[in-house]
Amino acid sequence: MSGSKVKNFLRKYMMLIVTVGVVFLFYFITGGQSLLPQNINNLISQNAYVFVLGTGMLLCILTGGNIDLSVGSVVCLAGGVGAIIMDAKLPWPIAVIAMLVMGVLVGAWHGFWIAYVKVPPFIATLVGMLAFRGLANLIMKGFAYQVTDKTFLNIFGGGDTCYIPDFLAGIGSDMGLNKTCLFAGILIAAGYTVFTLVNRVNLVKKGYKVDSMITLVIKTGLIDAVVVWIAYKLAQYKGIPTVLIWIALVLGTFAYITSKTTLGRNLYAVGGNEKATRLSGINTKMVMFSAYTLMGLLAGFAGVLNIARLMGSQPTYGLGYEMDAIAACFIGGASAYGGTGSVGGVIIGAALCGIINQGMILAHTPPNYQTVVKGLVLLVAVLFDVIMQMRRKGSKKKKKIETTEKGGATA
Amino acid sequence: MVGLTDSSKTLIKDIGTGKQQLVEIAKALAKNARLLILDEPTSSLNETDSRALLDLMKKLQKEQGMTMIIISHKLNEVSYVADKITVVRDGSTIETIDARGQEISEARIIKGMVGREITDRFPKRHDVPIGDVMMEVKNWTVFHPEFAERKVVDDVSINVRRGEVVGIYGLMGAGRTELAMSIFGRSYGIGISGSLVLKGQPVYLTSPKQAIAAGLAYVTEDRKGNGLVLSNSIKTNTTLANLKAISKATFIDKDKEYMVADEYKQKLRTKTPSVEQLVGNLSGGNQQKVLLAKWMFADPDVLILDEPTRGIDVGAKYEIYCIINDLAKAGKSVIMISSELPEVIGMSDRIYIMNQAKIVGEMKASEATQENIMACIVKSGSEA
Repeated sequence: MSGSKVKNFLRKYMMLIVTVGVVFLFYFITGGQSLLPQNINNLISQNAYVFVLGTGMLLCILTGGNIDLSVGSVVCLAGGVGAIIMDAKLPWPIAVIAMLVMGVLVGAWHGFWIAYVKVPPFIATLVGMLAFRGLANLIMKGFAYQVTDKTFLNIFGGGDTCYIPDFLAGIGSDMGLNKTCLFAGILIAAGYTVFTLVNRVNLVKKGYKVDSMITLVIKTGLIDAVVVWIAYKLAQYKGIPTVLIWIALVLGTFAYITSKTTLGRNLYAVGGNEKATRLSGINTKMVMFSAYTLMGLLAGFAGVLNIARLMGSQPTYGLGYEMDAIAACFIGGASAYGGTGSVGGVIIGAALCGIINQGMILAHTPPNYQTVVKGLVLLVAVLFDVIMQMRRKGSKKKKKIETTEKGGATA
Repeated sequence: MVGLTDSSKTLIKDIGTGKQQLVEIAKALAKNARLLILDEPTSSLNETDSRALLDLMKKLQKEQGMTMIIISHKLNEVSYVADKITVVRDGSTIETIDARGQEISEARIIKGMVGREITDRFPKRHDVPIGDVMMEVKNWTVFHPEFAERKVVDDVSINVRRGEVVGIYGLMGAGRTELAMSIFGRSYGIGISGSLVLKGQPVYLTSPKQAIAAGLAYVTEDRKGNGLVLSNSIKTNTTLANLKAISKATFIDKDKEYMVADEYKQKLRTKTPSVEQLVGNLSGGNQQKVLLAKWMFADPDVLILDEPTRGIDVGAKYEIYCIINDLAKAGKSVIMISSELPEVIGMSDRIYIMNQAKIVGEMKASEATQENIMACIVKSGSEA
């Protein structure tokens, strides 16, 4: 029993353990550089798009391992549209809305072909990848556009002043820290702890099976520690990057959608067994369509973050973004056959990719080796999934026999 | 050799599961094996094909001296073909009966299987009043989706009353599943014509969604392919067809969902440690219960059960029969499609016999015997 418990634990937290291992690995290789406050800050702001696109990609992958190859081009197209609008001195909210609408339209376009005409997703989005990149070039006429609107840049985390101002700076002694950031970190950790405890009490009251108290304490303690630690590091630099708020918002919203709404439920069901889902009275075409439309929306939003961070738009922006998003999903444990995966997994996948990327840069790994390593990491992650699947199939057979035995004995 | 009539160039995916099974057996035979192990070889074959296969086994044994092991749920097959019968239960062999030179009764084998003798394989329904006509299908005709000139359901008219269990017996390929699925929101076939009347109101259903809303449920024969999402939990499978009932707007009430799933787990006596268990980890009988739970929770008036006891053990079968009786007692109408004659006769109030896309007979269960049902089929076959 304890053996299988260990296995279960490994299966569940493998990627998390690997991530921690990788963090330490680079900490030693780079002589502590990788955990400098500024580098942690950069890790978040440079990988914002991976979190956002990975979340969208997860929706598509859930429906049956379907991927969206076009997101890089869509980020570029949406960014181009926004930059041009702001270049024409129109107010920035119009630009943001236009970018999001652009994303939704593109997503709906893909969704239409994939869900209703049954064009294979790989082909439909490959078409999009080519066509929307071209379209982005066309509307920008091959030029780069500057984005100078200060409010826009501040809100979406670009330029130098992309941090939440330190409201608490005047209080107490100056510790060389951004107190708002640290305070926010502690607040979140405390809030999480209270929430978990209340939740547990409620669950016990309702008669659910819950984790043992020790597991719960360890789990909550670790999460709290990580949150406070990150907040502390960020506080040592310039505080909370605004983009972090946006990432948290997107991740939170979609974690909720995938786990607690009918749409989320349907995404998993379609990915698990499309025919059975259709025969259960669910409009599976609509589910597919929604997945790609939401992917489009998030690609549009990634476009917003992208031009804010880079303070402008160029026809080459977003190249290869789709691969980062796909890799984040698969490293985060989404099944290539659909039906399993979670936003939490995407967070870990995206973080792991980012950490490896940054660590290698800091360790001065030649760029060509970097891509080789990234590729191998993805292979190992998927291999791990495949092996676990095979093992599970083996143990499933055993389990199956056990249950029939029980059935036979009581009959 | 195995009785296939299709062209050898037909793709496997275009033939039914029954024929696919025949190809599988032909493949095994083509390897000139010395020892042939057949694991549920007839679970998707009709009676004639099954009999042909069993006779083939006997022939192979006699002429080539081939050793064969047959694993089967179907007791009549085992006693028909086997020289020695080993009963396996709870992971160990219970007993081995030498069948040579003596007739082994099915009751004898069942005794070994469940540890006691089941006196009544089909639980009785007492005092279930049969009410008004709940659903009526008139002149229903369906064409094959790939071969548009082929009728798979031909001018079928059936009805079912409140509290009634109607059996549809037919051989594999008679068009029973096609009939059921085409009624269930036109989820099979093309060029469907005919009328459907539910509770006296003519309805026109174009999707499973509408069919469920109108009070229909179709419990598929292919629970892994068409019925369950194996990678999801029992809980989410149970509520899948009626998410509306456990959610407000689009937000799922997780407590309510858990309670519903747990309630059905207890009601149907699904054997599982928790409703969070993945359905893929359950045995066939328990999967079937989850599938039934899903459709019971959808709260239909008419349930169409397509081979509800296929490939599950005797004990679970009995429980499924009890569930069917409870459904009838609750005033539901049940249409049970089956290719097991004793089951159809034992469970139904009324039986339709289907052959080659047509309804070729209708009789009360009290008048039905295996002989006169088969006679209906043979007669219709010779007329055609």
